[in-house]
Amino acid sequence: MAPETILVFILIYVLVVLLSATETVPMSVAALIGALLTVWFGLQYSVFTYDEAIGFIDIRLITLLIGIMIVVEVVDRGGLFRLGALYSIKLAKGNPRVLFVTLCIMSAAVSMFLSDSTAILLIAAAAITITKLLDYDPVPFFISATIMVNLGGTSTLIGSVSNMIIGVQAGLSFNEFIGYLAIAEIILWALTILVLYYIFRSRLRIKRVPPVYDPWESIQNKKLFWRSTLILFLLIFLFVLSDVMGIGPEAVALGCAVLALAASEIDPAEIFKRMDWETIFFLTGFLFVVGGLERTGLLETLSRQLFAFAGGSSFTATLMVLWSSGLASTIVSNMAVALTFTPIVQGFTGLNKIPMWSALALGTNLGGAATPFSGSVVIMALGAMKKEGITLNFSEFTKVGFITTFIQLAFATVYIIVRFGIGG
Amino acid sequence: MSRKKIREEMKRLPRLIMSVTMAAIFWGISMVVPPLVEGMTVPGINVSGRFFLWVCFMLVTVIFVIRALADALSLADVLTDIFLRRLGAKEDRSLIRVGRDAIYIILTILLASAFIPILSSVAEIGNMLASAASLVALGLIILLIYDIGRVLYRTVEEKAEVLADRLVKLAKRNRKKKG
Repeated sequence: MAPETILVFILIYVLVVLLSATETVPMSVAALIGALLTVWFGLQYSVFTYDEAIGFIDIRLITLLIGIMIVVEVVDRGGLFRLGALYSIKLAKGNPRVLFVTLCIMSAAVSMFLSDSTAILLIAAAAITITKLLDYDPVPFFISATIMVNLGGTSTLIGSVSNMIIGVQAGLSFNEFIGYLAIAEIILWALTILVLYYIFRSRLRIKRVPPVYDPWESIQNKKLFWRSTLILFLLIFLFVLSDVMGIGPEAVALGCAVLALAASEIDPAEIFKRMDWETIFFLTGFLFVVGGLERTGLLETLSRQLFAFAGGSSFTATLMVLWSSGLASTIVSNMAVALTFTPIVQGFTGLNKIPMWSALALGTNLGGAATPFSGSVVIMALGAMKKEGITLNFSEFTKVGFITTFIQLAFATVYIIVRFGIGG
Repeated sequence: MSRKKIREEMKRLPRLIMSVTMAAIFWGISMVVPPLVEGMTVPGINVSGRFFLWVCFMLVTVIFVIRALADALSLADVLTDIFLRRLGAKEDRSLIRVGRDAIYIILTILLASAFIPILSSVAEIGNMLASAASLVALGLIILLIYDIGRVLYRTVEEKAEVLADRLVKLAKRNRKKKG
């Protein structure tokens, strides 16, 4: 392929990344501009045909994402996540340190099922209520909740969009994901909470008496609550069994989504309105951009060069994937990083790819909360704080974000080496 | 940049045209006149007349060129501001401004690459249209690169001022301690 053609596709990729990073246009519009340019130049330079371009959309990935979004939206309306958050606050009994740890665990737990943006909105609302009611310093709670929401769901196929991308494109099942990464996530939770607690310990001293309330009062529609909770457990159960049943996770997600829509008795238009279309359109557009780059042969060349640089060593290649995807995710959306890295990892022929997929999942997830520019979750948390009149210094978040991200990536390095036995 | 300032800066335009014209005239003279005194030597300094006149005219030319360059830079500043304002770019933090300039550069390249083949296919005037489009794209890119340089220079300048202030304060504190 002519170098000028490859350069055009690189420029399109850089353009989309810059448009998203500088927030010149919404993330989805940036990706769709990229998609339009990719198709235009792809056809102009005969890099691919129109039919081939249509094939760039990974229908399994989009189906999985939409299915999960519908189920989670119904469960959220049922009130399960709100109930969990209120119970954890009640259990803390007004002790700021216990409350801090509880909120951290709750943030990560909720984020295992909810999308990061929905989870942070829920947790931010809880954090605002608690800190106002008990007159606590909101900053430690907000920063920690944001970092924990980003961390939550690192080990599950449905925990983050980047995991769905990796899972679908690598052909990893729900069980395989948990099998490879669950221990890492549990240790990462503990390690991150310890680090955050150490950083904010001096700001968590004054204890106040909490108001008395019944968390169950927050559930307005008991029928919807039980039905939606049942559907969530059914979804997880079927994900676990999907290997045995020989069906893909996207089929499970879509099936449960249909069930949720039917059982919830909510107007589907209401559910569809609240779905994260920004993410869906970003993914669709970016799939074209990466598809175009792949067709030029650039990603294959990059993969071969990285393989040569790693000297054919699984150890070097895996660590390279972990750190480069982690550092890239601190600047660029982790969805974009996952979409770019999957064809590169697929190109590493002759090496055990499981450690690399695990490294990629860890890297893309952990790098998402290093700076206020790292991802939508941080921007939304900062936005929620600003709306409440709480000012947070840019450097304060970056300092905490960078420390935790670096420690998490360092731990992930040790985990990958030990778990997959790829040492030197 | 305010409209008043822009209006004031625009007054440089006639001066720029004047300087460029004068520079061109003197450069022309430096090519034509010196050969007329071929073989003559300037008494006292013992230099060939041709060389002496050439140096004199070139010096005047250089002075006009320098004046023209100063005016051109000032005007480029104003033009970049007007152009970027039309594009909707605000006075952002430097890094984002540089990022946005880079976006416009890439967009210009891509749009030019997309439309030039279409323009060249127009019968008879196709090549001319394509060349014009290339030139316009090049002009825009130069303007945007200039803006990146300007923003980066301003950032470095601000940082240097902060550093200098800190050093002065530190020196004062040390002097007080010693005193």
